[in-house]
Amino acid sequence: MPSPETHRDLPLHPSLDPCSAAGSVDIGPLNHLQNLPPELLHLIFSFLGTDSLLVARETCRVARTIVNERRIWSQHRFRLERNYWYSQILTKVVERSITVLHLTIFGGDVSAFATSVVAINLKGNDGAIAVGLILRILDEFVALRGASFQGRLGEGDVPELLETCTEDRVKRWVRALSLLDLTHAIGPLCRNHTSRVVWYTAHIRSFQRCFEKICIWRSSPALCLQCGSDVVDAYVVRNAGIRSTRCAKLCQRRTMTCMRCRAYNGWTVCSVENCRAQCCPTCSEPCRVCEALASYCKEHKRIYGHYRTVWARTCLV
Amino acid sequence: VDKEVADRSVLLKNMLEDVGESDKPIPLPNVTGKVLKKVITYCEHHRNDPLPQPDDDLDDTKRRSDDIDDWDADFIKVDNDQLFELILAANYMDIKPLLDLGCKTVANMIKGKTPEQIREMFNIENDFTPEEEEQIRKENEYVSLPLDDSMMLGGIACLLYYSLCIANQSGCQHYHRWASES
Repeated sequence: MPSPETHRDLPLHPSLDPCSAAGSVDIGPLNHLQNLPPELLHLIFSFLGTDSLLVARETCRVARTIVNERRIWSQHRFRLERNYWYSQILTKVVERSITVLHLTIFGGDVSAFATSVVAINLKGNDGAIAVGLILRILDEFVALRGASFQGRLGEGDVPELLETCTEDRVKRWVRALSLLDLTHAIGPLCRNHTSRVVWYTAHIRSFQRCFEKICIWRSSPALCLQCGSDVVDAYVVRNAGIRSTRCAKLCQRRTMTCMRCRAYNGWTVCSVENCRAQCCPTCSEPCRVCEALASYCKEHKRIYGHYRTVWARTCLV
Repeated sequence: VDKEVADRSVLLKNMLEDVGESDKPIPLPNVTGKVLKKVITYCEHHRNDPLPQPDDDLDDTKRRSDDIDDWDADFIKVDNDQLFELILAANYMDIKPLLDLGCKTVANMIKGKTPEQIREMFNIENDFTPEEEEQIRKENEYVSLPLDDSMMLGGIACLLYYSLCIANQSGCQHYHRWASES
């Protein structure tokens, strides 16, 4: 490392000449990334893609501490910097990134995790992008302002997403689909399949085709689509004529979280006695504030929104 | 150095404004002469560039690290010691474009590398405790990328196929004997 005295030999402008500086500071060994101040490490890591960030956190404790801070992931733009040739590996890498983010960085804090990513860009990968993966991403990150999945768009493998699709969720997906940049995609969501006039409609229709496969709503009670266990109860939405099913393990309610887990999905605790929605699917514990709030869970509010007073007297749950 | 060049540094600009017309030297105790010379070279080249705006960080495209122009790429081709010194100097002198350039360069060096390669490149000491190593191992185990059986079988089939092709082309006696018998 050059000593502080070496600059004495250089012809500098008097105003920039540090020779006159009293008491130069020894800035220590700099050839270690670990020796950089945290704010500079933050800046360096802000230029890294998601996969590189997750690799960097395995190098040393300093990097791990910096990457584990939520400041790095706030307003994060999800992108992969390596090119993955096989769609299965691409899917695994994306799933790995999402899992590590969820469990390790955010420690199961669903709300913060779901709003951490504001854009996703999976351009330039040679591996096909599965529709199921796209739907999962749209479902995980509720704060997406833009999503780009340019590349080959895989078909099928939607059944990975066997969860309840509430109406609001559908709306959110459809809204998110409008953010998708599918210019170079081939497959069911490709805009070249139809004329540009009906492009958006085609998106929705294609999406609904996927949606029908994963929708929990059925015409008759049956096994749970998620875990295959018997349905413990059923209730009829009289006015809509729809029969809905619910699973004993409540797996279809995975997107709901209790107040303690910072509910993000518009869910509020339900005041209906013994309502299973009071169990938080994230922590699997009853929500402690259920009794304090006289409100309905999202599903009850959606179904019985117009008949709230009647429903309170004739609860079928 | 011209005032226009010195003004690229927010630190110097503020100091010069405070000092006014004066011949008094401005101390820069945290910057060595060699690094200062590089900084001045950078500032002279970019003397006519627009000054960065405070809200530039909000722009999505500013988070990209692959938009380094040719002159900057040549300028920043220095060893790691000098690179980190440049980053520290740019941070101290508050020269945002140079700081971004240095950080982007380090980010580009990290990309696509394994943890071991990153450690080797930047002389990073592996200071994880055995417990932390175990935790990392478990995380990687949990989210490992297993190859599917179908992929492995496909690979084996390809290897066999190409082996047979090579054997056929090279006129392998054993292969021809086996092929004629079968």
